[in-house]
Amino acid sequence: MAPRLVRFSVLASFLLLSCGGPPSLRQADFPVNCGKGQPVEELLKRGNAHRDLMLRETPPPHFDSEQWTESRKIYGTRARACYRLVLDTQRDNGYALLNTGFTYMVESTFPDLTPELRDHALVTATNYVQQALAAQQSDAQHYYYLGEIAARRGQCDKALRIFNALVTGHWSYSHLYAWMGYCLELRGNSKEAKGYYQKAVDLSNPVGIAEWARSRVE
Amino acid sequence: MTMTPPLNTVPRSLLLLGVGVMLWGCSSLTLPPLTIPLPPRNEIQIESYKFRVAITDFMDQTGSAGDLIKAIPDILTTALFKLDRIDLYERAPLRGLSPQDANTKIQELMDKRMIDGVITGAVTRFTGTQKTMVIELRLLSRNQAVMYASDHTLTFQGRRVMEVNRGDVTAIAKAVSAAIPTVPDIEVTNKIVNRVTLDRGSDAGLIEGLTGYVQARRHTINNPETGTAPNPAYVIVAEIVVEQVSPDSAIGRIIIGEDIQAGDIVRFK
Repeated sequence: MAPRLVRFSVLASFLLLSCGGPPSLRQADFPVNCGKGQPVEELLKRGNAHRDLMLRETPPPHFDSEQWTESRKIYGTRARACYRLVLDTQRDNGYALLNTGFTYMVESTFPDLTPELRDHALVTATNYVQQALAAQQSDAQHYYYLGEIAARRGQCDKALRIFNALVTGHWSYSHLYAWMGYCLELRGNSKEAKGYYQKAVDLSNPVGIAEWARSRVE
Repeated sequence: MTMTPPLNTVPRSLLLLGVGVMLWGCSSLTLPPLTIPLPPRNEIQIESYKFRVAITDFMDQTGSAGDLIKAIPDILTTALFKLDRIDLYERAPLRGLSPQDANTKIQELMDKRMIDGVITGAVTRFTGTQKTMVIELRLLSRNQAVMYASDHTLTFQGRRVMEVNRGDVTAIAKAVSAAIPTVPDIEVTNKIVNRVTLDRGSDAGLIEGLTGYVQARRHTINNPETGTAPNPAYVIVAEIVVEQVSPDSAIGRIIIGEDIQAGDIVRFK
């Protein structure tokens, strides 16, 4: 009986690890809050540090998943406070606007959200990304995020129009091809989808998305 | 009585179902992972889009030129301004400075990137009877490259109050303006530490000492809904000075800015 138990433990551990898990968090990794009068570069740096913690899905040691979700919400609020301070002095700072939208998009992925709140977060994200787009007209990255938000809202027709314009505009990025594949797969076009997943794998830019895309190709 | 491990009480089918659910969880159509926005290129501010020079008081090696060593640089400033090829730093803060103080001031202006070059001159011959003087003129870049060097003969009128012939000074201004070539935009091919390699050189008119600003093109696309083409959008990420030139390539030293990538474009002042 004991060897069977060991085998099960090994299998379970392998499965859990294969689902992903970042390294543990150190005290020094926790960023400092933003305040008035700080230079824009510092505000953006701190905002990004909070944003990166908000992105972390797996709870660090001594956190259960519910506590961690609450913490991630707080990090999101703090990140937005930093970007807001940037926007107080530079109203058209496209990077601050884009990141504010991005934090709302991250918030929409939190597990405890109702569908209404999830959609509300995505609509808010759209508004900020559109403001960023107005500040830096025709910026390819801003369009990409508009496309991703549309895809997350299930508006794959709109998302694919944007993604195709990005491909035509020679904006080459693994996430773009991954989302194109995702939307096509949702539409039932798995053959074409796999072609885009393969492109995401081939590009491997950045590496993380390539792993996700590879799992879709295999 | 023996203790039974809890897992042994779970039916095998339920265990397999659990494993199956975990496997499904990893392989179902999950959303692609999030990716953080790429930071924008680090933009810098530049003082001037044109080659900007300061003109110091000339040196009088004859001891006879009097106030002309201040008056000629003033007239030259005006003449260069009218030609509109280069930008000029206001003469007033430089007027009347000793050569040492002038050097210190010029270095300070270059460190602050307020000028790209300096025009210096020396009166080397003065003939009162023929009412002529010879001036040795130099245009030096911020890396001390001599961009222009020539002697010019100027005529003047009057004895106590000497007045130089403005036409002669205008001729100097034209010669100096022509020494700063108009060069097409050139692409950066490589960056190593504080040097960049450019993909064109003297064949394109590039000379040592020329200053340029590095422009990064923001990636823009046509509007997906309307198809409207965007205007090209650039950000200035660095300023460089040309140090070495060969017929088909050149090397520039970075004055300010670090965020230079291959493919960026240098626009020369």
